[in-house]
Amino acid sequence: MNGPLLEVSDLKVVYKTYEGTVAAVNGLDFSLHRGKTLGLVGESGAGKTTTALSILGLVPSPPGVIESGRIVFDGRDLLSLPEREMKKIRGNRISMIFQDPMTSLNPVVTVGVQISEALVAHQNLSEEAAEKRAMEMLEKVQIPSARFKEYPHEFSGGMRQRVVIAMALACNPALIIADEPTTALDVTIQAQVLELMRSLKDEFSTAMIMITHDLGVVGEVCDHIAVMYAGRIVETGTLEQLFRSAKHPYTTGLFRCIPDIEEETSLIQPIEGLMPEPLDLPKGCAFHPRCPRCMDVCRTTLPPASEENGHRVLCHLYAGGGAHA
Amino acid sequence: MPDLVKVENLVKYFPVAAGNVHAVDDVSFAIKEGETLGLVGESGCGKSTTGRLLIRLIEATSGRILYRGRDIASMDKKELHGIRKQVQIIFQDPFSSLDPRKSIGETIGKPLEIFGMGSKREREEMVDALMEKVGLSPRLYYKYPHELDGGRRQRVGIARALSLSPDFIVCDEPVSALDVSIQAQILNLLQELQEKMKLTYLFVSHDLSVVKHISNRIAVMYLGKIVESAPSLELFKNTLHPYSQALLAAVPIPKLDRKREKFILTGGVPSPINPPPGCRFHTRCPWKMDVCSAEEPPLIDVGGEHLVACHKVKGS
Repeated sequence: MNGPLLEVSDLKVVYKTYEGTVAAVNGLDFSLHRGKTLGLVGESGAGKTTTALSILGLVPSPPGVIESGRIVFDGRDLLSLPEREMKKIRGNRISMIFQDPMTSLNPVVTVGVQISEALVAHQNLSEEAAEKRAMEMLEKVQIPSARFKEYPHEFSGGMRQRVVIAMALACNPALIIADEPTTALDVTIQAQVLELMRSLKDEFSTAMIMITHDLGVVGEVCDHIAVMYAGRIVETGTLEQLFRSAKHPYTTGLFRCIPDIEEETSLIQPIEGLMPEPLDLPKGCAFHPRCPRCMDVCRTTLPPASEENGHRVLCHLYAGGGAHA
Repeated sequence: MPDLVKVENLVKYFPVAAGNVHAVDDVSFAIKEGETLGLVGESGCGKSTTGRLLIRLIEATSGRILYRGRDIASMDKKELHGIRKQVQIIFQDPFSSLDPRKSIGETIGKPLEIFGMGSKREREEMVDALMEKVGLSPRLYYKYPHELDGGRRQRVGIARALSLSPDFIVCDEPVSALDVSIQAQILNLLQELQEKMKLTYLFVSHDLSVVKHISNRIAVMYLGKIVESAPSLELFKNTLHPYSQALLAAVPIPKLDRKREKFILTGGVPSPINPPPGCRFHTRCPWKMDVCSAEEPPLIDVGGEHLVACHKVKGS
């Protein structure tokens, strides 16, 4: 099979609250090929997590409504599948790693049982066979299988996240969605977990969507990056394209916000202003009130996408192929 | 510059059922007037506890905390009240460190009220001036914390800390809960205020790139001990302690060609209830020798204000 593993087009998700309708995801397009890793980057409220939940069919409803779009996974549109079919995909073909391993594990069930559960449910394994496989998975994430019968509270934070990774990989899924998987961990532990995720992803040739606010983490594990702002992907391309020649003022702004640890003196240049109010998004380009290069057209018209060698940017500066950068 | 704060053999044990948590275990350092000392380390290393001990939000088990030569740790309540004007703190979480039932104006003005500064009217003017100083619009005076985003809330926390014109502020992870674009705004604000008001900071953080950006000197903590301290640039150029090296190497950098080599530690941090004997880092150290598990390495001066506690490193 050649085409992309996952293709999301024109996805729109809103949350209907009593204060009004919040457009959390606002016309999203991206695709992901088998075995590749896409970094979905953005700040709080950008719509990263809503995107992930949409793919898994887990957008809380009410208040969430998927207004339009297609999410084609392995040739099937997930949005048109009945829940019965989604259940067969979730945890089996697509699995999820959440941010906080403390709350994503069940505190009253041993880790072994939690890992075997998915295997029994999806792979028709007997309990014995599932147990054996779960033990192998524990070893894969560098936890002695002897700890199979222990409870989550008996593990450290880094180990708990490894248990979650073992659960996510148990059914050998085609796609893993990791939502800020290392944000709750200390840096030395984060380095361990990222290293582990990288090697397992290669071993299992799993595709991954890595949701993070940390451009450094993206640099460690991703092949492609999509930068989100106010529900839209404002820039996307390969790691190399974005790290070497970021175009969108928001992306370049993000890089300038991070103090450079390798330089003798570091200057940081914050992005002025705040994330827009989701109930009241600015007209035109949603970034225009904070943009240092804002033009008149930005205030009124949504910028069109311009693309060069797969490097796509949503900004009037680059509209019409003219690179004014 | 003379030392504004000097900490000598500071110890804090928290008694728990299983024994004592050795949160801070014999830590000594000094902060010069007008400088920023960065205190960096991972969760549970004792950096926040150290910050809180310094302004006596919690009581030290033993040790001395000299502020302008006077020992804060042994002051009585009345003396301490006087010192409170000069030493302040900014907390990590701008959500839980503000009273949800007090308006922004009340929160910032509360310290002024407690110390009986000026009339009600004058206090309101002082609050207005403070709000302007930290970049808060005056129309937020009657708003409540839940109506503000994280960045603005942290500005309220900063204004409150500045209200009594302190000399020394403990910044306890002041930007960790904020988005990167907002984090940069707050860091720049803290630096600006330091210059204008001649402030001295103890900047506690787990984020090495932030600490490097804002600090003149940095101390690295591990399991209740300072393992290395040096002027900021020196620490990054000439990192001596294996833990500091691992910490640095572990920071993910948004660059394609990173200069630093990969150096990933194995295992986790041991329990602070029963810290390992000898060097506390020996259980994870790639350079471990026999002496490391038997003898605690002293913090020695290798020249140029660079101190390190490691058996592998010889003093000058």
